[in-house]
Amino acid sequence: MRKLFTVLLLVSASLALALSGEEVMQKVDAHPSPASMQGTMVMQLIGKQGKVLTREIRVWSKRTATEEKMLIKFVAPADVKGTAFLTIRKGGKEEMKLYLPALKRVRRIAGSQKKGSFMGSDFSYDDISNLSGMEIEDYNHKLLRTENKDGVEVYVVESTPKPGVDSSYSKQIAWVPADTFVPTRIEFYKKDKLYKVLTNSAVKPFADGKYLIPTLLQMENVTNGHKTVLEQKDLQIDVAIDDAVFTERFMKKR
Amino acid sequence: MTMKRNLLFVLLALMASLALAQPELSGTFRTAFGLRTQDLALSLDRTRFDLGIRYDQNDAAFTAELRFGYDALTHSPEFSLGEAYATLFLPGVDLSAGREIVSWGRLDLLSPLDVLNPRDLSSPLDQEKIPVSMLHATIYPDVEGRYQVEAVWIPLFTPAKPPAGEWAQTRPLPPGVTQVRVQEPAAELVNGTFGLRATASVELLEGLDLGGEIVHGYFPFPSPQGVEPVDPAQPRGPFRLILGYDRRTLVGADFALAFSIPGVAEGLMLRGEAAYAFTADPGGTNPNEKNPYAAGGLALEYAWTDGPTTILAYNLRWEKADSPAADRWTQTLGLLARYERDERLTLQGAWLHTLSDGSGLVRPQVEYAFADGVTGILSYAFFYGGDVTRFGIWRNNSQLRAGIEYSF
Repeated sequence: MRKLFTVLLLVSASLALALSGEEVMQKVDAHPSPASMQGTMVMQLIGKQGKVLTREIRVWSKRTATEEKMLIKFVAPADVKGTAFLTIRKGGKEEMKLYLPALKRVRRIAGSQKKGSFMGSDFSYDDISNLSGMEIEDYNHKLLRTENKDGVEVYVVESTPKPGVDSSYSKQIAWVPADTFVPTRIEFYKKDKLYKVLTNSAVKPFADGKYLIPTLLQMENVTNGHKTVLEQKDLQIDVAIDDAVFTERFMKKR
Repeated sequence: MTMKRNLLFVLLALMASLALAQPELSGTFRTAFGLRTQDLALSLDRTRFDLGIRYDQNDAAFTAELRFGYDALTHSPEFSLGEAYATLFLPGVDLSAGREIVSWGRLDLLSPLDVLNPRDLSSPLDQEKIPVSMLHATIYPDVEGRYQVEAVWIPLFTPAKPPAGEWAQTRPLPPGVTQVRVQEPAAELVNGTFGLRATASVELLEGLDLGGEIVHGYFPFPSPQGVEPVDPAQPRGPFRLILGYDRRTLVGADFALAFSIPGVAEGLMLRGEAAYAFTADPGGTNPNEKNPYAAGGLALEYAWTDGPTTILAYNLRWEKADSPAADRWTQTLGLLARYERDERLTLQGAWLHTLSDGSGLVRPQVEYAFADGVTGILSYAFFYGGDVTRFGIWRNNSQLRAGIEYSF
């Protein structure tokens, strides 16, 4: 009887010490993230039968206390080369623009297109602009359980958009290891059915270990068996990037 | 012998300079076949190779495109220079000079403002813009690039290419006229085309882009200017019809507005354009002078969740008729849809319908990416309408097309 009491006491104590879903996501959000990044990404579009199409993109991103900016330019293959995608988040608003060299026009992208496929990949425009992290205050977070993986405690947190928030997904479930607080797996649900799974791997330290950044990302669409693998190469962190990079002028300049 | 040596020297010098400059080469190889559905005749058998050369420096770039092609139906080879221009990237200003294509306006379909480059309509299903020699400046007054001012000067007039071959319309000449003479504007400073455009991005609703422009130039197609005796010694005829290009000054505005209707549709995009063309005959009193016209269009764009992106477009055009005839009004509806089913298969379709005369075009298309840069395209163009209607005149040219493209 005393043993049972001790076990119950330990369980209740550990539950009291465990973080809540909100706290886990706050720790994810509080994880230092670079003020700027630039690098090359190789995007592999893998079909159900394993056939691969490869795209190479160049990425610039910059964040301040008030805004986040990201520019992506396609380098290969030749039929999409020169296509550029700009996203600017400021004051709770998000602006997305696309430059298509064949049309020679910069086009503003509407909200409904943000949920569509990004250049034929399994990432949506929204997924791409959220790569640097979701707006945690737009979601309610609930700790579902903790798991143990290779001796590391992993928090499993469900995030559902708050009423009025225009989200591409009805909920997201993230696996967050307690040692890094960098999510390794995120499941995206539509109408509470599993839709896509993002796996973050090859988490590498940058700037003498100040930042932990996943350099290999895989988005799998479980409804059709397609997946897209994004590999980050020659990543440069906290480099000075001119604001002129995040403009229509730079989008048009190859 | 000396000439051959000189040619060899030039080629060697060119190769050496290209090797030193390390230009970037790109290209597209396209081959396509067409089958007219009415009589199962071959309507297209064409192979094209477009080679692009680009050389970039920090503050300058040079672009050139060469087209080599062969039309097996007409046994005609094709060689042409596409865009070829140099750009200087100066502080706050991009300056370019050379043969260039410049797109103005917001609408992808039936844009009244996109008038700087004439069109090659020789085969209306493959219509493309013709690059023209110009000086082009783009000014960026602010660091964020929310405002832009563009100025274009095209010193020499280039006409549009009208539909040719089976697409051409045969119009009977007026009685007594046996010949036609087309008179292009002389290559003089005063005969150039000038355009000025200003744009701004504003934080309204979910984002608003605004634009305004003025283009002082010419109509792209010729119109009757009068007749003259073929032989001045015989003033009673036969006669020669003179076709010429009339001046127009086009003034217009455009916008692109991102907005949502809460609870109904999130993330809509509305694009619009309106233009008015002033001519030398505002009242339509001179039959040998083009009359003014106005045109406007709206396009509503929406991407359906896990579905296609659709554009519903409406275009209205008014043209002053020569008095006492009634003015001409043309209304066109357009529906475009594009659906990327997966990373390889893209389905798209376009439907254009002229409300005023009941004619139209339906064009479904399937694209399949066989490998990186290799795409197969299958399309069908179906024209319908009466004999003398806008699209009905081509109803015997409805055709199935298949082609493959390789880009590097």
